Order: sequence, then structure tokens, then C-alpha cells
Amino acid sequence: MSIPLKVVVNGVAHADSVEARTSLLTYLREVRGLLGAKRGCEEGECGSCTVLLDGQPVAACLIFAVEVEGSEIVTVEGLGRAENLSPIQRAIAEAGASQCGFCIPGVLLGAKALLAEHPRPGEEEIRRAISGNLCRCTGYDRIVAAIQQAAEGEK
Amino acid sequence: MTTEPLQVVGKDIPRADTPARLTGQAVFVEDVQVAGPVLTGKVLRSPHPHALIERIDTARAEALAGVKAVVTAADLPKKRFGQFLQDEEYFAHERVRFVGNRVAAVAAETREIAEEAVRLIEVDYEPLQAVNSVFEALAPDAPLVHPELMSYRVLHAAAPVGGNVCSENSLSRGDPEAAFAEAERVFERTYTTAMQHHAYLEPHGCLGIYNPDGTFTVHSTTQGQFWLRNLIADVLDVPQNRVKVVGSEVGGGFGAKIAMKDEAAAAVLARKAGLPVRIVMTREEDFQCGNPRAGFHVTIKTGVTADMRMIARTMEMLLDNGAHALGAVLMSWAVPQFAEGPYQIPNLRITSRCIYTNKANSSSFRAPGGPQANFPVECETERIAAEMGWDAVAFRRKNLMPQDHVNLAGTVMRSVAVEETLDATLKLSGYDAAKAKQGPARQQPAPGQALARGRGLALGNWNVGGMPSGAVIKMNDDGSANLLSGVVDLTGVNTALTQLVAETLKLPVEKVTVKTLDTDSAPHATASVGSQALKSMGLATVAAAENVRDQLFELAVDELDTQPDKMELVAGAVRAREEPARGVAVTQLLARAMAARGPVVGYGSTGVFDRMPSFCGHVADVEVDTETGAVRVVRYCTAQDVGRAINPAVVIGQIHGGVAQGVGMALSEGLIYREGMPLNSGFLDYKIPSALDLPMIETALVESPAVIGPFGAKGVGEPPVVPVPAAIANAIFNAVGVRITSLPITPEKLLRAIHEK
Repeated sequence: MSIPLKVVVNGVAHADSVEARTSLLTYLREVRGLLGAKRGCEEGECGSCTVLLDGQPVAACLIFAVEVEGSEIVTVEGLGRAENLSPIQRAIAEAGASQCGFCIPGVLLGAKALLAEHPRPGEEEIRRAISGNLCRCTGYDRIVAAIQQAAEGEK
Repeated sequence: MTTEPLQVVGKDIPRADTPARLTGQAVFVEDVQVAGPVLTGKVLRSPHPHALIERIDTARAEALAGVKAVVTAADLPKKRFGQFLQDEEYFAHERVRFVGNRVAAVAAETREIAEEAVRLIEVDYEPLQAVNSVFEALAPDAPLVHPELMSYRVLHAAAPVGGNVCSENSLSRGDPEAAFAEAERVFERTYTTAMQHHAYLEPHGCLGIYNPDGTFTVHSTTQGQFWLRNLIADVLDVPQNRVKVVGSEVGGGFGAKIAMKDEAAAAVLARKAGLPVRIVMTREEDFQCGNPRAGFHVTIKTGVTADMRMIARTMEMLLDNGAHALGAVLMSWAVPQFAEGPYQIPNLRITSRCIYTNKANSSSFRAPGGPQANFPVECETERIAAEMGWDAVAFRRKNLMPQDHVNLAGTVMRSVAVEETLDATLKLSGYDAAKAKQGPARQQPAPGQALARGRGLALGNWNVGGMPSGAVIKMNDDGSANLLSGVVDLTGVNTALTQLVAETLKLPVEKVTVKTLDTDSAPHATASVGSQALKSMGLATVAAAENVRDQLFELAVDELDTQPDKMELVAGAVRAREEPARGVAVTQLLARAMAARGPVVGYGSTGVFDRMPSFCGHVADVEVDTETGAVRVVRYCTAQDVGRAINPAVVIGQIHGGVAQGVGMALSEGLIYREGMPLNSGFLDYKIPSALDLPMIETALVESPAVIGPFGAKGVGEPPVVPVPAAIANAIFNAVGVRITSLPITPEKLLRAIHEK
């Protein structure tokens, strides 16, 4: 059964139709074609599907698309393109913080949300903010350093 | 090797593929787009750890609307396959041997239809008793996981014995028993490790396409395009040239994405359905069907003299292999070669027995066998020193591996930089054995808390060899270059290869393109495993670049009126070394070649080469909550012998990642099976370290160029996981005075040990 859905994604308003059981993750990937949010576990445990829902980081795999009616979603594609990276993306690049890159879209969005609310986070605060974004490649060291750098840069 | 200052090698060149990862444009296998509709594939997997299959009926699944194909063993040639021991059937049809064993597969228009179709396949199982541990497997009346074991074909490394022992490997020197009798004191203890899952963030996935010309294209999250191609071709029984593997970005590999998974199923479904089929595992499937690090059970016996020498050691190892012989068999063959550790012991015997159980198929995981062998070795180093009243650092120094040590396999260990590495470790961390036991007396615990601190040291070794690779460099008309490489870029290899080409051909990095090409478009390349992708492909690449340079020199002979051995290549030109003013532009030489005999193409290759040792020293500072048993790693230092860091930032990233995986192995990770049933098939119950579980990791790179390796580089990816569990266990001992001999060191386990003390 199709349900109408009006939602703003990366600043653009969309009117679509989805099935009741379609997750926000599936909607973004398969209807909107935004492949940056990843399907790491579909159980809300890994953080690789993190998107911003009205500015707050959420696990898109645990939310039904119809629940975001009238909201604003930001995905990694909404942060910046290669020619015009946002400060947090540049910081991750300069710190050499991305290895396989699978966790990075989620990390970027989590970091963006953190810095919007806490422009000068300490190391512990940063670690807590990204504790829901599992990374198996980097040991988090360069990611934390990158977020610190991005916070410095915004001063 | 050049003696001029390096322009590009040794610099932190940013990875060219990073922007795509930052903007969500990196293409992982679930992101791969092809023209036209793609079906969703799903595999039917055994719910039993051990059972006979009496009947399979796919009729109801086939009849479901939207189902385009259903396949079983009947759709493939009847054969067993395997890289080492051919013991595996692609689809089980008589017997299933672990929960997750592949039985059938479907392709349907939607995921929901595929899931329903799998539920509609009827399978009648007759459950058999499951073998849940190496001890159950070795019991006299143990059920046999592979009753026909001794009829299986051995390809490489495996030495099956019978029963449930799929491989037995033993190496020795001297006479350990006689030496134990001579020793001042003999120590013996047993250590165990759990099956550790790689827990990469991207689940296994693939996309199979059957082309109109009857060939197959398979996209896969694979670490080794050419091995995968060969396995798919073998299972489908088609020539290798008719299968093209296209590697997508790998969202974490660490050795798990070497063995074939559902690729052949996707291929055969695509042929039957007439449309491409994508199969991506759920996280639960991945935890059950992955290829975890084998759990080890090691009995280690050591004889020492009064003057701190280790004169005798035996290690008896039982490896929990799981249901089929994959890389754990190779590990069983290899482990006696390195389990001596960073030491030399004159009387030594190491025996490894790889045992079948009804669990997931163990295989290669970052330094296979490394941490499992190092845990007993380095815990015993500290225990023996403590019991004998020796300084544990002095004890290590007395027994360190010397240059040109011959290991148990007869390989000469060259470029042994172990002393430098130990020194660098101590310097970086400020490790002082006397102060290592910090204990509660030195802490100022908060009211109501009982935190103890301790610092632990462990020294690790890992041998890195190299596997065959070929590289082709095409020179473009404007002097820029394309490297044709089939190596999967797991860890920034392509950036490093760019640096190698740029350095050798004196080009700016922007004029060198390196991308991973598919198995049709590039020569055979080593799989990205074993820390040797850069070493292997790097040597082939440097050889190809030197081949280009030599061709340019030949082309310049007439114009420069001198021989190649008197020429040098500089940016954009070849000139006579003794008359630098006389030179000819590279573009001119290329144009001349084109007219005279065609384009300039360079080829280079490397075969298998000997393993070279690499060392690392780790110091862990832990804080133990004596009321809960919880352990926090509050500081971590490592020094690693890397030969030469081609791209230091990438090297450090590898070290950080290895340490993190080691911390997980030490404190929280292990697959839990009860009577063959997997109990923790998700991130909730299989806990890997989060950002809250690690400190900033301090690293020192020890650069002592290796005799083999591009610009002296050694493999770096695996060593950093090797000594982590021992460093942490030693730190815990120094904090609370208990030695835990089994991994993971969970709070429950530690608390019980503290109370029993």
C-alpha cells in the first residue's frame, strides 16, 4: 500500500510515494538515489546509516520513511562536493582519517551535528558523540583528531 | 635503489580516492549500478550445525510470483573445491556442517519476495550430533565432520591426518626434551583464544551478471580479484578467461574477503534468471558465514638457564578450524615458522593441529596465528621473568633474534631490526619495568571507586613474504603514465604505487594514474593480503617503470651519442649524466618510438619471495575497576619496524587499526557457540571497540630499510595486531596481580580471577 511522503532532502523538497514498511535508509538509497548512507547492520548498531533528521543524527535503518513526513533530512551528499568540501570533510581528508570509507558518511554527519551544538568539544566529548559510529579500520585516532581540527578551524 | 634524495616516496601524499569517500560517491558493491533491472538474490542457509539432508524441494519457491530463478547443487557440476584442501561443496546436498552452510539460492524481483521464496524451499534435515569444540572433536567417539577426509585432494599446505584433524604440522630443531632436563627451571601453562570475527562495517556482497556472449562478470567486495575469478571458474566449471571479476571498494577486509562467498551463486542465478543478481549478506548472515580467526588452545613449555637464556620450548597448538578448510589450514602450516617469536631458542618444537568443528569456516584474519601465538609467548616472557626475579626487558634482550637467524622452516631472517624496535618502544613509552606495577597504592582513587593501573609490554614479530604480481605501464603521448594494475586497493596501495611510478620516472604525481582494473584488463596481481600487496605490486611496478626508463634510454642513444649506462632520467628529459646540458625530451622519444615501432609500454613482475621478519613493540597502560572487572586502555604506545614508510600517514593508519582490532580481541571479542548454535551474530552482542574504548595511539616508525622491498619497505598492516593481547594481559597483571590465560578478558572473567586470588 503506497503512502504519500513529503520531505526535504539536502535542501530540496520531494513528494514521493512509499510503502509503509520502507525504511528511511531504503527510501534515501533506492528512491532518492543517495547511496552515501550505508547498510552496515540494519539493526541500529553500527552507525553507518546515520543521517541528520532536523539536525539530529539518527539511524536511518530504524526509522520508517513515512515517519519523516514534513522533516528535513541531510545526508553526506548534502555536506559538500569534491570541488567544494565542507570544513569537516576537509578536516577528515587532511588528517588521513578515512581508510575504507564505509563509516565516514555517518561519522561526518555525527561530527557536523556535534559541532553545531558544541563548537569546542573536548576529546572525551568527541568520542562520546561518535561512539555510535563503529569503525573497524582506523582505531578512531585520526577521526577524533580531524574533528578537533575542524572545531579549531571554525574559530 | 636510488641514492639521490627521494622526491615523492616518504611523503604523505593524500590518497586520490579520498574525496569520493567523503562525498558518498565511493562505489561499494551494494552501490554498483548497471543498466536495466537487477534482481535480489538470497541464500538459503542451514539452521543446523550438523545434519544430513534427506530431501530438498524448491517447487513452492519457484512457483511464487516474482521469483526468477532457484538454484541448488543440481545446478552446478558435482565437485568439491578449496584453495588448500578440496573439502567444500558449493551448495550442500547431502550434509550441512555449520549454521549458515549454503543449501540453495533464489533470485527475485524484490527483497521481500526473495526472503519469502527462501522460506518456501523445503528441506528435510536429519540433525546429527554437533562437534562444538576441539576437545569434542578429538574425543574417541567424536562424530566426524568430514567422514571422507582422507579422500579429499590436497592442493597446498594441508596435511590431513584423519578423524577430525584436517591438518597437522610440526617443525623442530635440537632436542627440547633433553634441554628441559638441563634447564634451571621449566615453566608450563596453557593459553586459549576465541574465534574473532573481522567485523568489517560492509557485509559481504556481490553482483553476478551473465553476459550475452556467455561470459560472466562478477562484481565483488573482494581482496583478491584473481583468486576469486579462479574459484568462481572452478565451481562453475568454465575457463578462467570467461569470468571477469570487478572489484568494488572494500568496506573493510582484513582477510575475510579472500575466500569466495555467494559470488558463484549470484553468477549461476544470473545465468538461470537472465538478469543480473545482487546478493548482500545481512549482518547476522555475515557473522555466521564469515571466516573468523581460529581459536587457539596452546600448551607452552619453556626451559630457562640461571643466566636468563631460553634453551628449550615446546608449543602444542590446537586450532579450532570450523567446518571447512580455508586459510586456517595455511595458518596451521605457517605458524610453526613464526611462533618462536622475536627470539632464538636452540631447542624448539612447535606443533599445530587444525581441527574440524561444526562452526563457521576459520580463515585468515590480520596476521593469522600471530596474536594467538604471541599471547602465550609474551605472557610467559613476563611470567617467567617475574618468577625468576629477572628484569623482563633484560630477559628479552638476552634471547633476541639475531641477524640472519634461520627459522624452523630454514628461512634466513634478514633485515632483523628487533633491537632497534625494542629500544624505540621503550623510549617512546618511557617504559620502566620497576614502575610497571602501578597498582592501587599509587592511584588516588575517587571515593567509592577501586581503580588500579598497570603498564604492560609485549614484543611481536611477523613475517611478510610476497606473492606474484605483474604490472604494465603505458606511456601516453604527453609523457604522462597509466599503470595497469589489478591489485585491490585496500589500504592506500594505489597511492603508494603512484608515488613509486612518479619517483622512478621523475614525474609529478598528477601525471601518474593508478586505478584498480578488473581481471580482464590487468595482469595477475597478488591479493591484498598478508601485508605484501604494496611490496609485491610495488616491486612489479618499479620494475615496469625501470623497463620504461630503459626503453627511453635506448631510444636516446643516437641523439645523445652515449650508452644507457651513462644516461639519467630527469623531469621530462633523458640526458647524458656527464653533460647535463645535452638532453632530449621524453615526449620526443615517445613520438620517435611511436613512428619507429609503436607505443612505449613497460612490463615488470615479481614471483614469490621469501618471508622477511618485521617487529613491533607495544606498551599498554590499563586502568582496572576492581569492583566490576572492567578494563580501560588509557594509553597505548607502539614502535614498528617498517623498513621504509612509503606513505607515512597510511602506515600510521594501519598501525592504529591493528591496535584497535587487538584491543577488541583482548577485551571483548569472541564468537560464542553453544552446541554449534551461534549466539552473538550482531554488533550488540559481538562487541568491537567504539571510540570510547580506545585512547589516542602513539606510534614511532623504525626505518631500517629491508634488503627486499620497494625502496626498502616492509609490510606494515599485520604486525600491529600481534602483541596487543599480551601487552594488555601483562598490563592487567601489573595492575591487579592476576594473569588471565584466556581471551577475551571480559569483566566477568577478570572479576572472578580477582576474587579467587
